[in-house]
Amino acid sequence: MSNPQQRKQQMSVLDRLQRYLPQLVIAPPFLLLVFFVYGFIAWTGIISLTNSRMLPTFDVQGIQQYVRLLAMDRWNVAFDNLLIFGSLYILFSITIGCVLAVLLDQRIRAEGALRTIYLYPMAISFIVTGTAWKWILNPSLGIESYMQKLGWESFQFDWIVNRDMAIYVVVLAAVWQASGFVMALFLSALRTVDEDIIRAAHLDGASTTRIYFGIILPSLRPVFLSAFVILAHLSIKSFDLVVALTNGGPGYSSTLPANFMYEMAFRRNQIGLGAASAMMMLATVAAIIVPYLYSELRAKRHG
Amino acid sequence: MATISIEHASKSFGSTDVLKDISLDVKDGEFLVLLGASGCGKSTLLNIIAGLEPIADGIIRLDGEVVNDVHPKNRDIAMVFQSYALYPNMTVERNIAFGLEMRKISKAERKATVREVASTLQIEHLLSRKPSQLSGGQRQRVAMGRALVRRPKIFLFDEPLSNLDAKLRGEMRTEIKKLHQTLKATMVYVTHDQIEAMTLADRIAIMKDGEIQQIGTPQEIYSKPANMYVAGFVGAPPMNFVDVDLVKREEQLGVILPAVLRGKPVDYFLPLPNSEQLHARENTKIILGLRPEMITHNAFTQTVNPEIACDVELLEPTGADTLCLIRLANHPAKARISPLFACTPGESMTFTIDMARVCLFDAESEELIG
Repeated sequence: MSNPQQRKQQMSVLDRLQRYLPQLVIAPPFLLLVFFVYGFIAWTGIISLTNSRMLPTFDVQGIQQYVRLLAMDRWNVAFDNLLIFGSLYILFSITIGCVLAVLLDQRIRAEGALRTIYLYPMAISFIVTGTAWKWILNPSLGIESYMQKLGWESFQFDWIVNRDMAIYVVVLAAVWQASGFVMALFLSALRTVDEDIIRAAHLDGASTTRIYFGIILPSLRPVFLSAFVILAHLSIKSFDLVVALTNGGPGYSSTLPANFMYEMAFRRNQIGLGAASAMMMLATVAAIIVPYLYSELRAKRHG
Repeated sequence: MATISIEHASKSFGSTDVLKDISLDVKDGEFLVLLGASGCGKSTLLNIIAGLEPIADGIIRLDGEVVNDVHPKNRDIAMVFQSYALYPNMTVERNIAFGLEMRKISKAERKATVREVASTLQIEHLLSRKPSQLSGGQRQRVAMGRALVRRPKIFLFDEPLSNLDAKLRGEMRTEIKKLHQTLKATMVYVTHDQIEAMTLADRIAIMKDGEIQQIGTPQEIYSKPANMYVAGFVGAPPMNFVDVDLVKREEQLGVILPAVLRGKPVDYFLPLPNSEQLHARENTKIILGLRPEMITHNAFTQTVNPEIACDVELLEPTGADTLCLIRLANHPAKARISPLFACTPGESMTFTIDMARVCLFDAESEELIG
């Protein structure tokens, strides 16, 4: 039998354990996160300052890899492609998604089925999307040959093998995949809009178009912002779609920075250059995410 | 001039009939309140007047013109919603001006009209704010401003005060009444709050299950309720209903009221003063409706009203009056007396019954019979 004093001590150990339990549970994943995410970001940052080739070295040389990178045509093509791809992808996904959401919001029949049909592409992996669109757009297999077989001999749709147009094919496939998701995002937001607002606007004499574009969509600013941020970071890290659809070709005309990074770091034994391009991508993401987080957190503090 | 006339309107959602053959006339400049519990169809009726919902059957006229298929914006109607329904992305000024903007009124004129309305409602200092920066009462005022600014023929209010706290509700009620007196516009007001209905209305229409139970002035509704539903819905505390026998004693028709005195049941005979139409019902059961103020202390030594003595179970002082819980025909009932005459709970006291004002209902149909 334990005397009361001993028991008191036992209790206090248990109490202490209970008090520190949350920290104890949180600590291991937190440390792993710090090490594997932020640790490796720092590691990549250091590597990008060295002239590592096949194996990493830690002999810091300065910014020469960045100078090399910015002088490479391949990188500049990839970065220009990112600008084209990113802006068109975001623009079309949001526009199409938004219009689909507004149309589906009209209390139509079979809405559930249609919603699933439009949302479904998001459930498919980029590799599958890329492969399917590769077949559809292949001039000798897909749309072009089909239309020609139907009798339209002069029909041409060969963007996928055209140096100047290949990146737009990537946009096409990516928009097909993402606009359903954007639609779901907008539809759920539209459903939270007070129906009385629409009624009031009807009584005020506004047309349905005017109600959507003048009142409802402007009040969905946070949803636009979320959609933008999600699509922006998706576009910057796009990699597999390009691999499956065009494999960066013809030549390197449709590569994106992520493909460039993979090519340099893991195929051409240019780890330093690859690391430098990875840091450039990180900076691009940060340029978008940081202002977003800042505005979100600030809004919460003021809210 | 703005009259509303609804003839045999009906409407159903799926298999539930929300409106059953409603006919209703609103006179020019009248303040009509549609009163009823939630789900009685009062808001649907309002939406039908506004044109926001089509009717399945019937005719609706504004100023004598059939408007069944006229778009809401062409009906010259403004509506104030329970949720205020302000446009969240616009400033207060644009919110109020939006209806004018849609009607292609020049910017300068819009601005002047908005200022004028804002000053009547004392919201001038809020014009540049967004709805999210306003309190409930301020939003309510903006919603009113949006309705006022167009100077419509008809105003519709859909429970506009139910999201406000009690004090603000009282203030806004007074303002709406003042507004009606200055504008002299036709107004239809939906509420489930009988006090709002009594204080605001020229006439009240009480609805239940998609049917109008009674239309009348607040006083008519209060003193001559058409049936037990209306009688129980209007008035706080509600009317007491007592099952009684209608009998004749010494050539006088009256009711037997069972009460409790010092723990023992006693029956009182209460003669009915205006009993001409009731002779056919002699020796049947009827329901006696007594408002709490009809059972009161005896302030005078001489009274024509019958007296009953009974046990008081509980007292509820409300300040101006004290409510006594007594037992009539085995059901709790409330009497309203002056606090000066209040006894202590458990004692018995004498009440007089104002027989001239009592309501009598048929036990089966629950309709008023006298």
